Amino acid sequence: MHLSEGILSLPILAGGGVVAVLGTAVGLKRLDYDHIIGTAMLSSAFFVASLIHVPLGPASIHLVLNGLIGILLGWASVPAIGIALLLQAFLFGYGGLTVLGVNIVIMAAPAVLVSLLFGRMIKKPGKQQMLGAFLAGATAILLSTILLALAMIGTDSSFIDTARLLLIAQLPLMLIEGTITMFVLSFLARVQPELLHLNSAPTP
Amino acid sequence: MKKSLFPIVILRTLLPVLLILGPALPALAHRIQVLAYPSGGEIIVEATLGNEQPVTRGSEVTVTKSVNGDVLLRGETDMQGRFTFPIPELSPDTGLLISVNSGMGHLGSSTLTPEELVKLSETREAEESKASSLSPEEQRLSELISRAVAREVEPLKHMLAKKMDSGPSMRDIIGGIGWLVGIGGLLAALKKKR
Repeated sequence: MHLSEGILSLPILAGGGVVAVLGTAVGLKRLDYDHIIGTAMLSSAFFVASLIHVPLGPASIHLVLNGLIGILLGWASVPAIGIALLLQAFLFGYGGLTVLGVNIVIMAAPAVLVSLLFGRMIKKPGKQQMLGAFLAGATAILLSTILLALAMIGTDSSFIDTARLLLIAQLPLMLIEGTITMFVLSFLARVQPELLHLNSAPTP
Repeated sequence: MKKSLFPIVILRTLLPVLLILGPALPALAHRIQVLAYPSGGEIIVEATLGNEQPVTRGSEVTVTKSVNGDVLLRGETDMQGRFTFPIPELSPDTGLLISVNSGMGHLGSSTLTPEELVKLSETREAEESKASSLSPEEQRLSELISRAVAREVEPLKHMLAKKMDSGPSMRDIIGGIGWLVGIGGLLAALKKKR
């Protein structure tokens, strides 16, 4: 889901950059001292997740985990995802510096959004929590794909067909991510329920 | 609140998951590697998604002049992610930019510098002028030789491409995690002072 350099038009690149910087600033401000190392760990998980490929028919797709990061970190997922993407661009050549802002928005905006949408469900034990986690994982992928498609269509409307294909291709990933998010969250809920309340920690 | 346990739990949860899924690591994609090299009067373009997995069939190939960005020709890759086109006639200061777009936001490119192209056309001209002064037998012989050389050199080119194309190494991955944890530590140190 990383956009390469040289595809998007300048206004979209610039817009993405501005939104990414603002989001990162908000995220850093809300990140309190006790959660920094945990955030860095989740950032590492995101960094590595893109390397894990799930074979699917002729192609393979990789995990994104932005839903999981979103429900655990809330706004702090913007810097967490941003730094991971920066390192992926430098070390692996995924994406690139000019598209970094847009890529951050594509991955991190859905993370923040699902934390707002499903954050409350996750704090309630039982079935609702499981459902919330699944929905968060799946919705984050859906939103990311939609943002990606919008960025491409905004540059060149002939991308519409590609975007449609992309949406279909990502449907299985939505299910996979939803399921993984559900399992990881239910495990965390059993082992360390406090984690699920990170987000509700009093914020300024 | 047992905040201090947070990192440990994350580590205990995610690390096993990553380790179990780890063997799938080298199967990387999502970055298009383009290799363009001349072979027998043609330029061969090979596009892969890392680890020799070819790009989707029908990915768009665009060949442009490096000087002014004029599009020389367009084409599509075949099943093996290959595209071949004859070496175009160009002014000596012009190189070629070959880019492959697989759609879905993935784009890769490769450049052939003017020097590389000039060398090519020079050898071709030299061969042609020589060929006219040769007897038919010698001509056939030189043809056979150039074909044999092309055959022998092909695997070398592939090896080179593979080396270029090895994708993220373990070193990069572990280094990246180190960076992230380090940045986290730095942030923590900065926030604590306040």
